[in-house]
Amino acid sequence: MNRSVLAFALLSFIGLLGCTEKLVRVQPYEMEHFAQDKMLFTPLDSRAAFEEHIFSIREASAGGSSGFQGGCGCR
Amino acid sequence: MAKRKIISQLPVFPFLIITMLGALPWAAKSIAFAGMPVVGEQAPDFVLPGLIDPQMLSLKDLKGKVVLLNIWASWCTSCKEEMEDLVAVQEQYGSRGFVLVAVNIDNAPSSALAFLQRLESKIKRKPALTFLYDKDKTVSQEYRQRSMPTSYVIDRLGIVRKVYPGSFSKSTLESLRSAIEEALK
Repeated sequence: MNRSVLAFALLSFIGLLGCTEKLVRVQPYEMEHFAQDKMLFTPLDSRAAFEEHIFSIREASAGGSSGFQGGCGCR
Repeated sequence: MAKRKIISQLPVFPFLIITMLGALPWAAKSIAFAGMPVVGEQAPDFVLPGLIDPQMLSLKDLKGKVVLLNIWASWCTSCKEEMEDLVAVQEQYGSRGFVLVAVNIDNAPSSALAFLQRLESKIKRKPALTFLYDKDKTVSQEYRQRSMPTSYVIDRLGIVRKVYPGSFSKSTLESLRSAIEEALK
């Protein structure tokens, strides 16, 4: 029992070690898809001003980000 | 009986845990530094098509010249930022037997070509670098690239003389210039 557990654990460990370099670590030259804008934590960063404008128009009357004007959409 | 069985199994698990924990630093180190290119080794040969024209070029064809192998991609911001400096380096040393080979590793060459057009209109001349295209990223694998971009100074005999992981700063550009001067002697 002990031997089989030990053998299984060691074989699993060796097997997993084989994965470390090729599978687990994404190489820097493989990061093309990770480098895309949509992979950012804030993917809409470039549209932030536009989003802010829409938010102000829609939420101003309810005390949103802007303290003036109503929700008429005429800023 | 059951108690004896439990006792007989006890040392196995601490042993396994200690072994695995003990191996962790080694595994982490082997992952982080696996196959970093060693200065003084023969540079692996490659045969690649051009990025702009499909003509094949190998490292052997450049034997007798000092080569700066730069691996870059259009999705890598710092790769694009250093390109103007690299053009200046090529123009400075090109007449003395120096070739700057810029290997692009984009999945598709279109965005790299678009960037080169923008670069050309920005610097108002054709960048005098030798642009190659490596879709399969074999050069990155063979040169065991560990950061984007990476540049390798290869001397006239085809031996790696210096490795620059990451983009060039002012100080590393000075170091690059002195490494090229040294290799050109």
